[in-house]
Amino acid sequence: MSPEFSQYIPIGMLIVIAIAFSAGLLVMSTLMGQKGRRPAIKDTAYECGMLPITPAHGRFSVKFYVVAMLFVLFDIEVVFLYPWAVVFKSLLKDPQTGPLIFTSMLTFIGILFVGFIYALKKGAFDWGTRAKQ
Amino acid sequence: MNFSLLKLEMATCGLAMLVLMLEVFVQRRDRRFLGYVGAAGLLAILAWSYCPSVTAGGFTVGSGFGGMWVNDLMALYFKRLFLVGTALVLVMSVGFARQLEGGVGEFFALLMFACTGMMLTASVNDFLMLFVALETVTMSFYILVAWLRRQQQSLEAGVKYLILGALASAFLVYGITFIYGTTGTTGFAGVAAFLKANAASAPLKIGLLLVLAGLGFKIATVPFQAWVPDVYQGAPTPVTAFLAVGSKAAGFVLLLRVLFDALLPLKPTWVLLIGALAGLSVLYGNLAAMPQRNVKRLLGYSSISHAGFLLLGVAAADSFGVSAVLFYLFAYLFTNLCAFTVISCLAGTLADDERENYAGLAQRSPLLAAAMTVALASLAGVPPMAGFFAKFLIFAAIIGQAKWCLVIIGAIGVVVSLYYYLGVVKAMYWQEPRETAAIPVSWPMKALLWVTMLAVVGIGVFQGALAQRALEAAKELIK
Repeated sequence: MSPEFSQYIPIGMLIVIAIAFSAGLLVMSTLMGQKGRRPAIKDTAYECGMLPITPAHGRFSVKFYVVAMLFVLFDIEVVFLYPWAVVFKSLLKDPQTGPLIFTSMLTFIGILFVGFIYALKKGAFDWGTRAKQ
Repeated sequence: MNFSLLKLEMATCGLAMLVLMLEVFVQRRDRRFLGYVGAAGLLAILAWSYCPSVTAGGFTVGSGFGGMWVNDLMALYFKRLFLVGTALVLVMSVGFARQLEGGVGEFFALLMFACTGMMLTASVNDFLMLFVALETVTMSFYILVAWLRRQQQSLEAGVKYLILGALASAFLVYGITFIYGTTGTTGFAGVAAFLKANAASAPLKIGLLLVLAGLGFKIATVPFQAWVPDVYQGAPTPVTAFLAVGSKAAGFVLLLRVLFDALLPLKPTWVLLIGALAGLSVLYGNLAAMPQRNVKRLLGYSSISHAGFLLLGVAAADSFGVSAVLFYLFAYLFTNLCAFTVISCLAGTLADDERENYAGLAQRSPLLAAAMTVALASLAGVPPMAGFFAKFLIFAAIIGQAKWCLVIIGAIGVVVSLYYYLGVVKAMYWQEPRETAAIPVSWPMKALLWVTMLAVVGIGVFQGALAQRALEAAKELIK
């Protein structure tokens, strides 16, 4: 077997063990577990404790939408910060790239900070109280 | 790495952020003054761009960022165009502010962010940079188009613009992957060098076609024009104006850069393609505008036909043709802003933008009727308006290249366009108004009307200086 393939053997083993383990648990629970009552609801799909079938147009607070949007924005900030944090030490030593890498990130964070202040002042982070206009 | 190459863009972006911060920190109920702050700031940046330190001495003129960025005379020409256009649109938005729901400060800030993106497009010299700059413009427009979110038309326009815009962006970025995959570079210079050394393979051609399709959406040429009438009709009037003058000019500067920098070795091929698109756009835009009764829709179709006229100049493919395009864009800017200022002044009074409502406008407000007449005459190319000289330059360029088929199509387009433009003029002057109440126009709007009217007539009469600048800029693009 070529070395490219042999490095995937552990992954293959993991898959086999995972299947065997979960299948084993199911078999063991049917063989050894208690047989209780079995109402219809127990046969429905398990979806984190929520009812799997509900009206599609459920209502939820618009605040979740704002929080999700802000989360995506500041998540992207971290996406940019990570690779920067990995290389900035070595690049800062070089006088050619040092100021560049510093000011670039500072500009990016600065623009994001303006957005942060805007969201803050518009009350996007006030969960309990009524949002100020 | 020379950040001073970016200082006009950084100033514009900073100004937009300043307006955003003023919006949240200033405790004043009437926030319309923010529009004036923005317009004054943009005019200051415009004045700054004439400083010797910006234009000469190699301080800001040059290329940088690994060849991704080029600041030449054409870039400066377009940056000034965007600054002027955005400043005027900001003033127009102040007059329109009563119709805007929600924050006006954000509206102004988004206009300026879009302006920043447009200024970035003027200096693009790399396909990646092209995508980033174009998306900056488009993202801002997605929000602006759907701003009147309680009006069904505006929402519809927003959804249409979003979906078709996303599709166009997908085409664009898919094309860029093909180009990168075949040439191994995204820089315009690198692609041009590759094309000079090798024959264009099929995947590369597909990539270039996809990129042109993405840009075709921006400039609203046939066959990528389907979104135009609905979006123009539904969007808030200042946004429609900005779409017509700013977004289109941004698309054209990118098209010029791609065609004359990256695709110069393929010139014989794309001249045919652009010529065909130009002819189709002129015919489609003008013929489809004829039955229109809604003035905003009519200007939407007219925008398609003007994209066609502009492409005629590109199809001439020499420095004279390009200079005609540059001149045309400036003339078109003032002309369109004049027309849309009239429409936005009427927005609070008239029920909608149907032509019947314009009947007898001359009796209700002579200034508005006069401004609309000047704008429509310029759009139709009647002397001595700016639009006449712009069309004259375009026709001179294609006659110089002896493309007689395109000349004939263009002439047909001009004649047809007279019909529907003058139809509106006829309604304004020779039809009886339904109501006779005078239409009030606030003084900033009056000033804006006068400025744009004088600019339209002024460029038409004293065209030398602008034509000269356009020619200088075009000569730098075509070495």
